[in-house]
Amino acid sequence: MRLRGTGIGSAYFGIGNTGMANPSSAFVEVHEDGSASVSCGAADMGQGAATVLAQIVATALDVPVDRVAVAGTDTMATPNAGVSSASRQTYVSGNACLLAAEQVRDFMLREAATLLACDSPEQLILENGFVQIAGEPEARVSLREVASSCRARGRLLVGSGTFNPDTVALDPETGQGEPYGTYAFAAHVAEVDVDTETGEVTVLRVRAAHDVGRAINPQSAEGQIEGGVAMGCGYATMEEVVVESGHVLTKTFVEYSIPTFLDVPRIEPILIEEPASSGPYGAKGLGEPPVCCTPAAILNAVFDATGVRMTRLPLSAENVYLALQAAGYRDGQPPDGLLAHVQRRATAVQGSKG
Amino acid sequence: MTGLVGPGPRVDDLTAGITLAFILNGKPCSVAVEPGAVLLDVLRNDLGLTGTKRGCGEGECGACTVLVDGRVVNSCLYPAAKVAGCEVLTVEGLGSATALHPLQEAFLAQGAVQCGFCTPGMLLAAKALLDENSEPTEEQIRSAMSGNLCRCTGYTKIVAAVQAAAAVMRRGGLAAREPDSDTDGERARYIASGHVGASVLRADGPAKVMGAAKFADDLHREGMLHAKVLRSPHPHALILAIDCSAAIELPGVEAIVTAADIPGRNSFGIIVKDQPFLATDKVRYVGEAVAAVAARTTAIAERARHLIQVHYEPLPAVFDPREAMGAEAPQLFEEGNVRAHRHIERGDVDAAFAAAEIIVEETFHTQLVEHAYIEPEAGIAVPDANGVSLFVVSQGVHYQRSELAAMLDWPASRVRVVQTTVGGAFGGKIDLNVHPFITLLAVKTGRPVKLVYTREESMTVSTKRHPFEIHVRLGANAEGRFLAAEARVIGDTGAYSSYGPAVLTRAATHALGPYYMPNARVDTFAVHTNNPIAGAMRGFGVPQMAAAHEQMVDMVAEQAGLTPLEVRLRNGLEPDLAVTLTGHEISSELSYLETLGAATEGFDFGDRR
Repeated sequence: MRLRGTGIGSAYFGIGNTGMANPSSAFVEVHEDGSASVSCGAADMGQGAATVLAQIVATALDVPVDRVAVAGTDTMATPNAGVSSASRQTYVSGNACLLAAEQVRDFMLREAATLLACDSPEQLILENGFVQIAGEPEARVSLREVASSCRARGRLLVGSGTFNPDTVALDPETGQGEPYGTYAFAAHVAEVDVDTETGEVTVLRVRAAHDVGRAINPQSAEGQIEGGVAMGCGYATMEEVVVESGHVLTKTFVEYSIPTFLDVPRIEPILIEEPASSGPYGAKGLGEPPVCCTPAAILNAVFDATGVRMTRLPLSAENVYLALQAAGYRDGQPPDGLLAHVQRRATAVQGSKG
Repeated sequence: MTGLVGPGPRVDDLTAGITLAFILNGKPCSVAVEPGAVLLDVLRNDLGLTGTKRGCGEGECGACTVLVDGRVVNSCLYPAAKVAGCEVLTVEGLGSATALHPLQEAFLAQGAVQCGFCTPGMLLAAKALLDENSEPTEEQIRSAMSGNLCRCTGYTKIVAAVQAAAAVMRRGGLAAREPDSDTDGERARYIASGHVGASVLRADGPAKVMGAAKFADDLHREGMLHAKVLRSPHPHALILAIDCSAAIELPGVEAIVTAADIPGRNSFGIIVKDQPFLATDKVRYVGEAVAAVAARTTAIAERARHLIQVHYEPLPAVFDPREAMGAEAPQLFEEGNVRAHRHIERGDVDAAFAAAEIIVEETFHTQLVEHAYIEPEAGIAVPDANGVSLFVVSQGVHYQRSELAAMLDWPASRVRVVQTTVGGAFGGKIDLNVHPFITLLAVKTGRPVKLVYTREESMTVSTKRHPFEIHVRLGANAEGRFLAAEARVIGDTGAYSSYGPAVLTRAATHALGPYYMPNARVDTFAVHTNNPIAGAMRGFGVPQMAAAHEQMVDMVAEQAGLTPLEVRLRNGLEPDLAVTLTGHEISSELSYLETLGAATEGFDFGDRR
């Protein structure tokens, strides 16, 4: 018989390394034409870090993002930003880039104040590629003019920024401390079918809600969630490196299966924005939280369907079959003690709006 | 077959090499090929078309997909001789920089490109499908493209891109980006300018959909040598002697390096420097690097590494972390097998358990997992006037540089590490992989040296996700409010530390989930065994812990007669109960209950009373 179940998987995730310094640094240079270059050693492995950093700098300088270029990471050209791990680059390097951009913006505002004969740079606002005196839209000067003026006067518009999350190290005895600069939260609901005769688990749907603080690039954020859910499905249901006496036996994609187009469920990413006071424009981090929730949600969904706790990953057909047998299932039929659980679930599914 | 003139392949040609004539991306092409060459090598090496990728070399991942007479083939297995007279289409022929193919446009617009390594193959598989079926259903797309693996996207946006491109192609028009329907002035301006909150297209997208992005294996330097690594066949053994004399005599071999060639520090590790670049007196896992060879061709390097004689004395090995914690177990290091222990103690755990009306207890086991990025580890090291430059896979060039400079005993400024476009990493390219071997060989020979792992090598020696044994006890009152918890976690970190101690620390701080837990005791251990090294992998110990704590939470719900949703609403961190397991008060940025509400919307968890 095929049984359907629904399960919740939740997690929180501290952004950045645990209770230790993990700084990032960046340079931002605004050129004579008002375009900008960003140097930051934050590695983009496909997750989109470079695009996110460009958007942060473009926002701080109020220039279109296509006028901001981000250098590839290179120890001779980009300053140290630490490694791309711990879901930290949007938060930590995003802040470093923001600080660098804000420093350049301050230089430009001061220069603009001179050009506009304005006594107090605080009255100036940077908007749409122009600096203007608040309340006097006519009194404005373009970024291009500001940058050229700086150049002519022998000043270059180069800013630097360094950011390190504010943490308190864990106490070695009690493990108490303030180990992360901010926390991301997430909850997933997975819906699965379990074939109780074969043990096969099919993940039908994962609804994945993530607090990202602020979605710098919503489409890219969705992509992180979708990819993490897929990886979580593989972890929960199919992947295992088989090792025998220290020898890896699963050395090819034939022996080590990862999810294909056919194995990934319908994924519904949901972005929640609860800004981090310390994040760049409120952003937290998102790389890792998705893969934390999906496996747990699937495990609880399999229990919901069958009434049997799965204590051993992955939920391969073999492992699930053996667990069901151990719990008293025979020929796919639940034992008497689990009939009520299975029937309750069937009622719930019929009454479900989801 | 098209009517191209040219000698068809004959059996006797295959031993002597042939000149192959075919239509490549719409233009006639003639190329001399080695006997037995596969199409992928001819495209990449002989014709310089590196847009087609090698992910596995066994026809399983689809990164090498090209079209031959309109049909999908895995070019890594496809004999080059078979394309004589055929039309071959690669990603380079799909569109041009000024006129992208609708599929390329749609992949960009839909966000279907992340690392981009699978993208060329995906595009061609999609083209073959749309040429046959102009209006495929989602099921048909998923089925037709199921031979192409992606580890980044979860496939959702790729399916959407194929559907969007199909719609454009049915209209016979070029792809036009749809104007944003949002009419709010301020928001529209932000979208136009690509500021924070706008889904701007990724800057590296166009190069990736055109096959122009350069991954490490796509790089070539004049006169470069090719490297191979000799690795330990034993999980635990002493090295008595290494004899390279036969290997170095092999014509075409330019250099061999062993630990004796390392001028500086022969150890690395981001937390504990316990892993040698090349083994000295002892190997601790199967696949540990012992020597590396640079030769004129990969084939010569491969033959040479088998000519290196290593005399081992096998030692007793330990594969079970629980056993490894015992005093009797074979010890991998003088300091013992327990590399790290993290303890968290909060409140009065024993008293709280004594007061608990519900106590649930369970032990969970999670498995060893591979990152399985589609791009294998690769890089090239180039000697230059400053010292040496690496163009290589990376998740952080500065860390890698510091280790390499220490290895060479050079100032850090003389070692340059440049990250190439990386085809997925997920924590698996954060350590050193090819880096020390190509660096040592390039410095020794004065020539560029390239090394690309085979898929088998990658899966054997890359770091992996820790398997955990997790024992948890959770106590609650009759209303299902959590009172106390206890967790003990043993992580098998394998032969060397890598990120293991940090993974087990994060496992501790995240041991019990986003719930208020006034009394808790957590102990996590990173334990060495002679198994493959476990290190950083996306989630960093938290997926394992969540698999346990989320089931424990449901077990309490079951006993308290609550739904899984209700028990979380009662215990989830919220402004009034905003203290984490480590005593961190985080009331201002708390959103667990919002995410829970959004995820569960529309689901009925029934009445459990």
